[in-house]
Amino acid sequence: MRNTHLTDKEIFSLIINPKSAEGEICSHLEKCGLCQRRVKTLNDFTEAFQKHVKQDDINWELERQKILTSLSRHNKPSFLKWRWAAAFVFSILIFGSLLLFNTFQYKNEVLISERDLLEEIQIVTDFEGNNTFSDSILYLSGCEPEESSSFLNLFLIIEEEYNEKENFTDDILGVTFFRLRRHA
Amino acid sequence: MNNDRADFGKLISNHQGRIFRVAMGMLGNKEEALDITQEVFLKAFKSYNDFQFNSSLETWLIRITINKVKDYIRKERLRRVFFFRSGNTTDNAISMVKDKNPSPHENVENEQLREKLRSFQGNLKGREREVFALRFGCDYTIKEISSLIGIGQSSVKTYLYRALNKAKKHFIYLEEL
Repeated sequence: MRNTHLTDKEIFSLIINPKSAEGEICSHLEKCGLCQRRVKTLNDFTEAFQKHVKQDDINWELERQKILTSLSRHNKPSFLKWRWAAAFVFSILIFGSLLLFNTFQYKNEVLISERDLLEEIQIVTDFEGNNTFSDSILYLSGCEPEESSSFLNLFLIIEEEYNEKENFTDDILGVTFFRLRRHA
Repeated sequence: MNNDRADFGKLISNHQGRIFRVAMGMLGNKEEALDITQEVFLKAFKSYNDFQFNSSLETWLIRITINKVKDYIRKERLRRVFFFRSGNTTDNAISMVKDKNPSPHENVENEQLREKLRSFQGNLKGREREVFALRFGCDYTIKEISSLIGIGQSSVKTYLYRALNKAKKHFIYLEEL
């Protein structure tokens, strides 16, 4: 006859597998109220857990139909499997084209068009009949107004050369060339 | 294709309750457990042709369920971390499940029970949660659990002892207070 209470391990074994109880444990359990209460509390808990997990109010036929419906909905065409990759590539293309567009637009804004340059470099005639440059060109070239006649001659030579070159389209290079010749 | 669907319909009927109970035992939330059940059958349907029949269909489905629940819990934890959300899943979701027409007294008792189950499940670690759900949620034997999750029978017992020890601490001492 056993005089000590059941250990936790013995009680847990009883809960996990009630058939595994040995005769000595069973006989103690029949007489010991404290051990009975301990076992009962845990048994009540496991039963409550089972009851909670089973959820008897579920309509399983309805759930089955839902699953079957979702099966047909998830049966997508194979090309849709690559939709994320396609979206990624598409976004890269859009971003790249925007970037290129902005770059070229900026470049066009920076370059002076040929027409604008010709408008700017126009020769005007002063009140004494001498040819001279517009103030803006004089300002850009750093010439004094009285030196403009000699400067004009130099420019006219350059302009003739410029007109002879049909393929000469880069205006900025033209201005650079003009300045180099002047300094020489 | 229609025959496949009909066969699969039978498979769903045979196993959906058990799969739900495993998910419910691990998560504690009815809606989430139903979602997981649905995902398990979707996954099973997609890879049904690859199934080698090395194990039984039930074992295969239970393994998918356990993996799905683990994934779900991990994602939910990440969501909570990144979105500072007080999650309504796994640990503290049992209170979300309401009875249809409970009396006020029953409601209080059920609420208390859910609260206890919630705190208990929140304290279970991964394997303990799996093993406990399989043993007490689905009535699997220790041998069956051992083959289902691929660990030894003594390890299954150890996890169950730990889980019951936590249950004892939560329930017995709460009742003594």
